[in-house]
Amino acid sequence: MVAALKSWKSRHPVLFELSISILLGILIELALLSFQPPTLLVVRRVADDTADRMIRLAERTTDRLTASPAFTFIDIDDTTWTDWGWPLVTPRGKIEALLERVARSEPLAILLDVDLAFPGDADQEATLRRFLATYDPAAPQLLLVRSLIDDPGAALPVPRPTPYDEAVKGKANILFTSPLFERDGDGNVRRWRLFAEACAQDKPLVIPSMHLAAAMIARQAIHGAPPGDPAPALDRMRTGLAPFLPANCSGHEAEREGVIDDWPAAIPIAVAHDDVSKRVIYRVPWKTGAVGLGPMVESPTGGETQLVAVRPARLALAADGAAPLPGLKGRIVVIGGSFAGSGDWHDTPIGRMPGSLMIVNAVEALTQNGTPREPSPMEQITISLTIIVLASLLTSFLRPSVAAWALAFGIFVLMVVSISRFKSGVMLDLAVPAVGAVLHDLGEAVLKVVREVRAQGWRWILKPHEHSPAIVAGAGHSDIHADIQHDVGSSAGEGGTK
Amino acid sequence: MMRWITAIVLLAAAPFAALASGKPVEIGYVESFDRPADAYVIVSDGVAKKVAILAPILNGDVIEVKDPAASITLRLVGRDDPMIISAANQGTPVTTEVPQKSFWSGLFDWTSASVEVFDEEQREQVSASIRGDDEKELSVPLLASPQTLVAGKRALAIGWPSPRTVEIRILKKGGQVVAEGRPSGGLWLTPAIDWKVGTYRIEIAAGGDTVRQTLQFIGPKKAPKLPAELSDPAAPAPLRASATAAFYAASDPAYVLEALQYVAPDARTSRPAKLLTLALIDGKRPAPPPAP
Repeated sequence: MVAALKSWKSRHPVLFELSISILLGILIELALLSFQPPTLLVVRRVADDTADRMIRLAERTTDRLTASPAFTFIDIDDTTWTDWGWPLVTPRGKIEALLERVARSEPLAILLDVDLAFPGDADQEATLRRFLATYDPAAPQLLLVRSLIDDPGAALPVPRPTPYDEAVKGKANILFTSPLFERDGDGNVRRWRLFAEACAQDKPLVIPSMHLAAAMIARQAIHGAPPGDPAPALDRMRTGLAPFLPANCSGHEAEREGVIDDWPAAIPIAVAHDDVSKRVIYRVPWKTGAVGLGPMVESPTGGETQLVAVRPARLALAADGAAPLPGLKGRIVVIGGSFAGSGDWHDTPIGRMPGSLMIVNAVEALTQNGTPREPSPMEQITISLTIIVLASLLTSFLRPSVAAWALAFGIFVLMVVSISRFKSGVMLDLAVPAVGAVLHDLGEAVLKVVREVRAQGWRWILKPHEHSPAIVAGAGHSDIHADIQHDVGSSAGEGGTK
Repeated sequence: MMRWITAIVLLAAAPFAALASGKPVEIGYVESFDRPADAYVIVSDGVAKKVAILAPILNGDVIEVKDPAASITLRLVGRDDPMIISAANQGTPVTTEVPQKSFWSGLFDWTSASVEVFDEEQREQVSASIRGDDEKELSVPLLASPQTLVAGKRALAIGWPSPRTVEIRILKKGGQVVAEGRPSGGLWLTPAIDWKVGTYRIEIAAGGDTVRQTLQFIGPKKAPKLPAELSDPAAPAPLRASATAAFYAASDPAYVLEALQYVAPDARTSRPAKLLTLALIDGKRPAPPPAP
């Protein structure tokens, strides 16, 4: 067997090298997939960078969406904020007026992206409290923000009370939600949190995120209730979140997995350990002053509209107070701010945007795709091996610099051909192929050094020069001699030194 | 080969084919109009619609203006400036292009954006003070310099220019805590405390930052003498309080916190008091009186 291998190696040295390279790649890929080692920082960055590029490509090539809600962003823009006299806290009277007008315009749901915990004018607070206390049970679902206080001495944060807690108690169509996302070390917000764990009066609780609650409402409006389960969307969400309630307030438990919404079955909303399921597939970048943002969708009242209609809040207040606001019927209405001093601006893979637009992106992604999924294990292995084999072939036949460009082009083609699956929520995590490629390179480099040390002995520590036959002549074995010739030949284009 | 070319052409043309589906497309809204609503009509696909602020405009809608002196302002996608329609230019269908993205143009756009050659400066101005963002540095302009207050039993108001939560402690000489709290919202009142003549220390902390300052309490006789007109009972009490605060703040930066004590209690009910409270908290104070 060994003799046969040696014979094959001497007759086809390049093919032998290639086979060894591919075999090494396969072993590395299998080891990575089987043992799931902790992710290396450099690999995570490569994976994030690749996913960011895919998100940007998907955003630029998506012209229209089917089965998507339409949004209206009632925007407290700079002009509105100036008209209001640059208040430190969003005036509660203005919020009450906006909510009152929007609620009677028959939207699908209202998302108030303003933290009401901060105290405002007492009279205006009383007005808003009255409005919430008398909110019609038949009015659209109203989602409010619940911020959390991180207590350094406690394991779980404490919900920050608001002056409106009593007013909304027991109201089925008003829900406090968490607006939390996760910001990476480079300042970009790439991942969502579907819920927040907290502790109030020694009782653990789970606060759903605003994007999860809104997506549940949108999914049920678009796809209908699951067969045999006609419960309202938010009741189904509460049922789905029940398994994630911490046992007590004493500490964080191990991260749990489970499905929050399995309808439609092809696009479930699930909590998983993998990193991919937490990614926000952004589709709508921000543009100051734009009237509409994002791709085209079906308008709830017929015809087509852009995914997000942006309407200044000052105009919503200037409109006829006795009539519904036009154009809101059937849409998800988000009331929030884009004014420069809001402190609610965030970097994302598709640029800076106000927090309200991040929520819109998250709701849309959850409604369209559910939580992102990885391809099947078979597909992952195939893609990883394809990259390894491609890298081996390229480095065997091309100069390293040319091979690097060729491999980059190969990955570019892979991204382009897989974009339609990416848009449907299947996210190719290139972390494993990236680790494989790095380890593969490392393994090949080690093998090469071992061969050279065996051939050259102690002289290996000396810097090699061209026309230095003494070093090569020291090798007494013809196969090793051939290896060295091959190695030198393959790196000659880089100047002959390592 | 011909089949491949046909497939590519069809693929590239697919988005445009979809756009040409004949469905009405929302392209903007009514921003304002200067006459009663019944002076205008939006005709959409032959059907007259009422005009209202924020009423959607569909591609091809016709605006009719009945009053020769009236005009209506529209905001449309893809246009930075508003479109104004009056009797002079009414009757023309309103159209505009919703930005279209084909796969190939998007791919080209993405590829060219990925190969950035020139450095695009991406700096922006940031503020190192706090304003509702817990990660920003704590700033309390009121305590920029040591403050002098009048001794006696009263609640002390402390303000900072942010709704964020802070930890406040006021300590006597020797380190004994006299008052403490964990307020948010930018304004806090201690309980009524009998402040003795002497030196106290105040500490305000948030997010790892701490602001410390000295509070010097003095006897009432040592305080700046108030003009007689400020104690005129004929003037309304909130007005006198605001004027007294303005006098203290203008007289010396060391009396800004003392000035706050006169207006903070009325900040929720009196607009002048609220404005002066916010100004003092932001570190602004009236100009000193002119020298005699």
